[in-house]
Amino acid sequence: MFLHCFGYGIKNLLRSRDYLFWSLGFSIILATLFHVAFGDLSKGEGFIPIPTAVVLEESCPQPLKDVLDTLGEPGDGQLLEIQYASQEEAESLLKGKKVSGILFVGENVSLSVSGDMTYDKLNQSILQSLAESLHGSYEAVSEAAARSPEKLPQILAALQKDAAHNQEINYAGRNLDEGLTYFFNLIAMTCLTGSTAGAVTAAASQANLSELGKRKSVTPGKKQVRILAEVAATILMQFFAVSISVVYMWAVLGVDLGSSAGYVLLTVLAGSMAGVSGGFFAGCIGKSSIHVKIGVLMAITMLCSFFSGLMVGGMKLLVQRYAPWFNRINPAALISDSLYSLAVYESHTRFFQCIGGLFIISALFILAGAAMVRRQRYASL
Amino acid sequence: MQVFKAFYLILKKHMKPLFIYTGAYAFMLLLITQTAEDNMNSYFESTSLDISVIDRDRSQAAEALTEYLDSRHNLIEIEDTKKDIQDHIYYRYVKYILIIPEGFENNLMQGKTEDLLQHVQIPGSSQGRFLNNQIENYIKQVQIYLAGGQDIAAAMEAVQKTLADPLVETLYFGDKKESRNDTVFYFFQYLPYIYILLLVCGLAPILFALNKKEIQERTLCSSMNLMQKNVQILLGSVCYSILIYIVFAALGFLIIGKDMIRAETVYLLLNSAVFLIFAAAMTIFLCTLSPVNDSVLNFIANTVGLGMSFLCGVFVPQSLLSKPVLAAAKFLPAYWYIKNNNMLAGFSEEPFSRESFFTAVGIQALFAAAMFTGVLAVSKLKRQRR
Amino acid sequence: MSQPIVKIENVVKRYRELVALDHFNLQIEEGEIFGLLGPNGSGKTTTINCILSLLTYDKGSIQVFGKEMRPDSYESKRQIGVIMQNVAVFDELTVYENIDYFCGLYIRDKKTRRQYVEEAVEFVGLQDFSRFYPKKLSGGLLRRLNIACGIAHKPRLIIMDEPTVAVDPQSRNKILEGIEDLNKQGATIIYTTHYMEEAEQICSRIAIMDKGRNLALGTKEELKQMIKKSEGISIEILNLEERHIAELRALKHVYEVRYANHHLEVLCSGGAHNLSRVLEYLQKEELPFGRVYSELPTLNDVFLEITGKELRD
Repeated sequence: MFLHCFGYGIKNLLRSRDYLFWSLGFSIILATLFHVAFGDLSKGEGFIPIPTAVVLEESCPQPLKDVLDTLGEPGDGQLLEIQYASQEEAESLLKGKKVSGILFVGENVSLSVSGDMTYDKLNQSILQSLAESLHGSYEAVSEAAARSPEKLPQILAALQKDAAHNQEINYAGRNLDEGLTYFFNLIAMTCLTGSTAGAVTAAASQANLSELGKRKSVTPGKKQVRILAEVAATILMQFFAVSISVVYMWAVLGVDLGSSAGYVLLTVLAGSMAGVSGGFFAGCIGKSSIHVKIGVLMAITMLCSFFSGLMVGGMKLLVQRYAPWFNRINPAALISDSLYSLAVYESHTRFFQCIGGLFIISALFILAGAAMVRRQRYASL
Repeated sequence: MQVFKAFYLILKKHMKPLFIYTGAYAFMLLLITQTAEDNMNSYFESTSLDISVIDRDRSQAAEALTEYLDSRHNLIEIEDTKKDIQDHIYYRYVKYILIIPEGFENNLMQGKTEDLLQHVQIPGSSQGRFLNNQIENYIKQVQIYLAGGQDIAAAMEAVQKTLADPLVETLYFGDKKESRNDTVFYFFQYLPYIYILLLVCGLAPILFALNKKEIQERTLCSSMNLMQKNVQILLGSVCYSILIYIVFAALGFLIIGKDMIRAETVYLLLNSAVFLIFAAAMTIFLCTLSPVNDSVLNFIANTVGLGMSFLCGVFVPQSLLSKPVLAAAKFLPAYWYIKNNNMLAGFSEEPFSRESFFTAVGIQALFAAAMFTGVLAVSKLKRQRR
Repeated sequence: MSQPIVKIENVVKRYRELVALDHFNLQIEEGEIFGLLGPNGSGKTTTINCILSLLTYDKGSIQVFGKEMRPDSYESKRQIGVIMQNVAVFDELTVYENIDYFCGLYIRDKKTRRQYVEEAVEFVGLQDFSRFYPKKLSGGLLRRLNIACGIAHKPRLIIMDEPTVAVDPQSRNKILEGIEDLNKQGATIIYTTHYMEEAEQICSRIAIMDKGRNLALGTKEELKQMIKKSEGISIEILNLEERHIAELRALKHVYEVRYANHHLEVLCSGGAHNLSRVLEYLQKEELPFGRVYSELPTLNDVFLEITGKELRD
């Protein structure tokens, strides 16, 4: 009985070409677009020298001038594209958004940036740290040298010494670029779109929601067994669909999902389960038409993904700050967090916490749904 | 007006899901708009961050370093356990944790640089890079003073002093900072995604119902001419779009308030109206192509909506997208929409000019026109095939 | 006599204010083709759904095979085949797979099942279409598939809820013949319809229901005897005066005479030679007349007399 229904469930879903095509195509197309759009975000864009206006003051010491020349020298290590200018010229350049900032170099080094160029934060901050370091080091060198001129060689040695003194402790020994979290969230969303399939499954087994449901209800055999078989088939299909797109991301796009493929697939399974079971639950409650239910589920899926940071990367942090409990029950956040912790942490404690959360959510949905459909007689059909 | 009437009767039937969509996306828009400042600025910047310092050396030098960081950032206390450290980074309670190992002061005085400090950061984050630079800069200056023969206390004091000087001045050429409120621009920035979803998910089911094969055939048999029927469907779609437009414009005034009343708003409203026309045209085009079921419709809406939004800089600023991506995005209307929005908001290098604004609006209108042409072509093709 | 296969006692079913079944009683014996006849909205489908325990009801009891019918009466359900009013098949499965799926819900053994499914395909005459998807089938063929899905497991009781709605004449005849075949093979059949011709053609016993009540019950002959009318004579006639009508009414066995639009209708109850008596009278009065029909009563007449309205809207 279970196998019979399971087998036909699979067959039925395999033949729903429109649905299969789009649920697969959806994630594959989006993954490809993400890859194209964020390719540079993650690979570290070839550095483009920062257009900078430099206003040299009379008092500018020679060593600082030399440093500036080095920084602006065309070649691989070129950091700045320097335009020497008077203060007025420099300000008009900045106003016209032709340069990212103005360095004033004299006794002191200072920097002016434009408050109107909010899009240019990255360059502004690089300029800032450059200015700080120029200013600080120059100050330090001159002050130290003035105090004890005989130690100048040591002082200059200290200045040039490579400062490899701040070691990053990384619990997995690997780096994670920000673009990757978009892919994690995309996988999470793809898992959750299984909710529509879950709702359809539920509707097709309910006598008050569909003709098929009616016919199934008059057959012998436990309703729960039949429904569980169909839900299991839906979960399996969803799992395969998401797995295919995950394999595509990994093999074709070269997205680095971490070394442990088994754990990634486990996440996909748990995620598909949460998606399908959530949809199944929604399909079991209420008498609204399947159209309304699919609409609601899609809206919920998008909201979950939104809070997990699919559209705006920082959203998950905000949720963490203001409503941390929501990140523990939002399946999209749980899925992307498990992938994230797989990629980042050595130990799997966190990973299994997330996966456990997903399984608990799925179990609750399925049990609640099954409890709803226990009722087998209806007041009206 | 029979078809038009039918349009609205069907719309009434679809009100429930429509309300849900509108509610969900309005809520999303509200949250994005309200938090946009935080999110957009999260790249590389000099504001103070939530960080932690674990001092295992408990020396004077370590204290001075901690003090320096305290003056720049917001220090959060954590326990010196692996679990606590991991948790804080994992849940982003802090962006960066500096560990000052035992023997820090000694190593510093002896000029040793290896493994002087340790840190934990959100892997690969720009905030981490920023703090590393800052700390490196600090240590280097201390080392210079030490090389000059000063003792550690004096060196650190000197560094503290030089670094305390304000170095960066922010100039404002346009609005003064206080009067500047970018919320309105963020609000309009996210509208394309929402328009596409609300039109595809809300309008398409109605068009499907009207274009169902049997209904289509029955209408073809009736005395009404096809042109008249199409005009009425178009009219219905226009009314629906206007409804959506009004709802979201009103929402804008509701959540942004008086900052919405500014010179740019007229341009922003015009820009979004033209994009909405494109979204409606695209929806009608999709519907003429082939009738499909609800789940598939949702998938299409999200593929188009999310895809276009990511490629054209709705969610990720255009300035962060690479040249080839932006070049490709020029073939999508959302690119021109965002270009206008950025220009108005001063989010891009390009200063505002009426000419380029209207060029971009015109291009969006052309996309819409292309879609309408597509509708006519497809429906003609379909009729010929009959 | 063995106990009835279906026994409905005093069942009341309300949908809010609307009383769908009003103290409804019915017994169906093994081996019958039992017709449940009534206009649209009279409660036929509600009765079926109550028998199948899909609907709750407010009062009364329903027994099937001598046991109370409950949602988990799997043993009883195993012996019931249902053909729903609306087609309920998977669009994504082929004809064969659909039948196999539903048959599989009843029959575990694969070999038996294959045999049963093939027999069902043959039975409804879909051999040439077994690999087709439902979308490719015409309305009549789709109905046949719907029936095959319900009867493949060789049930002892088959419940058919208007299986011939919107079916072309050939398919309809095929279906009706099939029902009789099934009955000959030993199945008891409950058949709802609002086509009285169908009921007359195949049903061994008929219940007429309206507004949730069982108005009359019996074989078609019994039902017809219940009413006064035993013969209806209609004659085209040009001029008829009030006097003639009154005199016609006075004839033996005649209980009703109507005249409108040059059309005379004489209803008689029982007796023989009614037609010749009427014609004799007309000739005697030298009234010219055109075409003459004589009809025996139909179930529609039965229904009309019991409820005062036509069976079909």
